[in-house]
Amino acid sequence: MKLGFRELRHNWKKYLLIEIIVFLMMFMVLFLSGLVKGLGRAVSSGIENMQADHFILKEDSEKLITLSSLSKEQYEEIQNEYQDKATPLDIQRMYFQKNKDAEKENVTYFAIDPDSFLNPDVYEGKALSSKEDQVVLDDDFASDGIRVGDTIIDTASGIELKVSGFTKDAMYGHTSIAYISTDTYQKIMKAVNPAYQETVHAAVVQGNVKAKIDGTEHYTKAEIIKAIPGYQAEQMTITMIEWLLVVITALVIGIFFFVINLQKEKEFGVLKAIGTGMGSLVGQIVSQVCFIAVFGALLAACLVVAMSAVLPVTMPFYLQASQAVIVLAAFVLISILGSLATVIRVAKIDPARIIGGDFQ
Amino acid sequence: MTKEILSLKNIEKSYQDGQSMRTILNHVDLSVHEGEFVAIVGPSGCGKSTLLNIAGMMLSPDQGEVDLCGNNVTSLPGRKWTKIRKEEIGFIFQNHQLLPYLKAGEQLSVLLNTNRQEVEQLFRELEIENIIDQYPSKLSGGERQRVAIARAFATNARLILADEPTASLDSERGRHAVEMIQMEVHKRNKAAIMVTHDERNGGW
Repeated sequence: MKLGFRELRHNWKKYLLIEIIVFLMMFMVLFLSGLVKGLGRAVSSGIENMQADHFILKEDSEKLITLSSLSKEQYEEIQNEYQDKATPLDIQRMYFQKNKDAEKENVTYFAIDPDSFLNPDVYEGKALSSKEDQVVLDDDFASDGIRVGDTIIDTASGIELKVSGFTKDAMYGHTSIAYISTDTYQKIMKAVNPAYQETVHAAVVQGNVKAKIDGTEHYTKAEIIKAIPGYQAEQMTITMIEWLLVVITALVIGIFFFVINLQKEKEFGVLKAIGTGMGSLVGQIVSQVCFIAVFGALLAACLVVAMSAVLPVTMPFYLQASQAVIVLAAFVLISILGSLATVIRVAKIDPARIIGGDFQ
Repeated sequence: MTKEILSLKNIEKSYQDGQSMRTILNHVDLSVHEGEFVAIVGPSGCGKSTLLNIAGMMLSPDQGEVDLCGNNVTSLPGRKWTKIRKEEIGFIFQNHQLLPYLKAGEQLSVLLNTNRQEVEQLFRELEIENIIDQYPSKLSGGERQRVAIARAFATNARLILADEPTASLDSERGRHAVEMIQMEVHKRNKAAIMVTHDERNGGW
């Protein structure tokens, strides 16, 4: 190990170049990792952030809350069964305007019972109350110039909603969420369609689901998220790119070290001749690979963290420490495995042949 | 009577040479005792280095027995050979073979865990104490070879093997290098074998 670090120090220019490549590639990997999660959150954070475990939907609604419609009787039965551990949820994609002449903005209404566990925390203003025509918005709308106390207009119904507060990280299907009460939601729906029948899209349950209620199906939070249109395809594609990059970067290090160590065959031959054991030589090779990989990965992590602080709110970027640690640990591990090719090569070096003699 | 350090008995070694086998060593016997400095002189290709590689436990003989300090080491596994090489044998190679990324003193302290005092002592004896913190690239050929000699004597090895130690030096420096090996062998009561194609070395 000591020998490995002495060599790194002496040939620092050569190894710095490798370090720069590793650092840039790992930065790309971590940035992609943040984008994967960010895009995933842009589709599902509204659901992920809920303090809920299960969702009860109508049968044959293909795990999509927006396709489900529980009858009044079904919902009453759920309510009787779970009491305050169950609460209604309606999801509706619509538009609103800041004023009649302003551009329409995409919004997804999450209609909830303000007294339930689904009411989100606000970082500015007041949480959603039972008072009619109030709305709590995702902070993405704050960057559009909307402030607490402003009024927005639901485009379809023309109903004015007063902004009572802002919450963070509330997205669904790439649109920002506006939380309204179930009463306000029904008022909007009735204004749009006078024939609207009062139903509930889904019931959200905390804890375990008990007996199945006729005509309904229950799903976990993860199942509901996976079923959101586009979620899986998007996640699979970017996750595949991310892991391919992890493996390629690790292999690049492996190849670099293999080539560098090919040039050092004579040195390894001398070390073997004077009695340096394979364990010590493996330590030298692995410690160098480990150092380059860990240092490059840490530098990349620092830059990504710094960059994420200055990225615009609208950019779907979300990097968790645990997620970064998994990617970085996998990278270091694959790098070490890649260095085994070099170890095998060094193990085969015959000191008598390398050092030479007059017969060779 | 001085103790026998190395004994080669009835050593045979052949190499594939095209379609036929070429016998390089044919029933060779050699015995080296403490304080003895044996020079094997011969032209290139006569098998001197092969003999040295067998004595240095880097090559197995086809037949015969290698005894080191009274123990038969011929059929020991490679792992044990490595350990014995580290503990019992000091090597001086052609072209010094110093590691370019270690300073002269570190060639002993890092590779062989020799303490700084012993390193300084050896360097003083070999008149190279002024280059202890220099990298090999900054040293002359003679200085590098003296560092290589110091490395061979830095452990408690009882056998010193020198393969063409003067090959890369001019005759004056070569003679000086051989004298230094001789001096250290006698002073430290080691057994040594030097192989060389340069007949002048026989007279030193």
